[in-house]
Amino acid sequence: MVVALYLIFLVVPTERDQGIVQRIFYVHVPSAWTAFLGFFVVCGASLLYLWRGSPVFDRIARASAEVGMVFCTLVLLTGPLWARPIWGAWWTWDPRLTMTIILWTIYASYLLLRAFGGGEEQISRYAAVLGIVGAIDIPLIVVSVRLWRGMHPAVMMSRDPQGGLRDPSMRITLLAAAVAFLLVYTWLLLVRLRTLRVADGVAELARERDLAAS
Amino acid sequence: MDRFPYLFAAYTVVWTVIFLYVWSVDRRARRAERELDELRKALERERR
Amino acid sequence: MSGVWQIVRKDLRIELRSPAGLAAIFVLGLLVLLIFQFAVPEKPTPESAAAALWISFVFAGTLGAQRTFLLERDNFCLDGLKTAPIDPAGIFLAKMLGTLITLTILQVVVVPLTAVFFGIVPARPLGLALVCLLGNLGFAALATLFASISVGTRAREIILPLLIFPVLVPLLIAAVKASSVLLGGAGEAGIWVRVLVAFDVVFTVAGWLLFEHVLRE
Repeated sequence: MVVALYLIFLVVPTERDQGIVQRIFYVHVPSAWTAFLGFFVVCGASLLYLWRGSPVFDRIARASAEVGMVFCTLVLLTGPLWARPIWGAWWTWDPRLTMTIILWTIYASYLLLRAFGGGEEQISRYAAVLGIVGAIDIPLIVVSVRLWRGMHPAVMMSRDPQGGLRDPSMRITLLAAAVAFLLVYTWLLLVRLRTLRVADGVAELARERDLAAS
Repeated sequence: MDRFPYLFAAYTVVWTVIFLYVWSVDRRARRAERELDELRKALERERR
Repeated sequence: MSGVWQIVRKDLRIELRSPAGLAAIFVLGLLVLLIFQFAVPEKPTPESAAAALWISFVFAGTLGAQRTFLLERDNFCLDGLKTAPIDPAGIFLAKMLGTLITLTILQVVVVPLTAVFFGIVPARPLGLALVCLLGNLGFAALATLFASISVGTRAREIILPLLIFPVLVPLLIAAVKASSVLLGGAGEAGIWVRVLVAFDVVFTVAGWLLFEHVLRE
């Protein structure tokens, strides 16, 4: 993980003439990719959980939701910090930011659902359903937001909002940053998974103790 | 260079948020460990 | 199939026996329309009328969607439902139909009211009716699935909007855009109708498949 974090510093040497603020791009975009990836992991884990029933998948779903939420928040915080000096406005309703904020609300509703329930199996199943429904909604969100903003959905892979010219060293840096973020995501996921496993073990022991006491 | 504050803020935000999250996970881990200890003690008490 | 109809009929009978519940939903729809009028004091346009229409519908509809499951849970009927000889997908269909009927009646009330308040005569009333129905369908599917989830949690009333609204966004965008065109605004409604249909199909199937996991104990 230290390696991953150090990789991010490697990004810094590669400059861009249009302003030093552009560097934010190298955390903003990978965060977005990780945030979306995180939710697809939630969906996959949810599907596996409903299909197989093993609590491992439930824990993966929950951990990925938390970590994914972290990255989603980062996108929404770094976005305005980038937009303000470049475009003069704190927020724009461009399709990608709009999609991200909607994703954020889906993450939020997932985490709130888990917060309102207990640790019982029922809530896990409810959360899994929500995880799946949220994920299948995402393509629909993509299409409808782009249409809303007058962009035809066939324009799938358009990248830099500034229509940036991308010289190869920037592409590499972006890739490096993406890998770094992916590693951070995985690290956070595993860390969180470990604590969840312990917590589940504790809860089970507590239940056994209660049963024995009665 | 006049836009540097934004860049600085952005990277600060990234580090802070990640750090906050790790800290919150750590807090929960400690709580779980405490509960585990209590449970162990309670079980031992019962055995006697 | 007959089981599905039995549940629908039962729910309808319950609704008709205590019309206060339904009435409350209609009044809420009206109230939201009124508030919109006061809060957005600009010249009435098809766009703002469409917005008011769907905001009002979504708010009142969310409450309406909860009722069918709230009644079951509060009267301990959920277990009876689970042990009935109907597969969970059928129960989902039945509940969705019931909600659909309630919501359609709500729309029959709210849509003309919107037209009246905004002083707009819909340019293409049949198209508008279709859009309303499609939007209704998707909303009912989502709401039924999520209402059954929310009823099993501790903080029921607040959780349902939290669950529905984010996922509802595409439907909302499509419905409002299409409605504003059909109420006389500029643009094309066709593409939005297609989005609505896609949404409806996806979430009806999803609810159909996933409901058994919600019902399992």
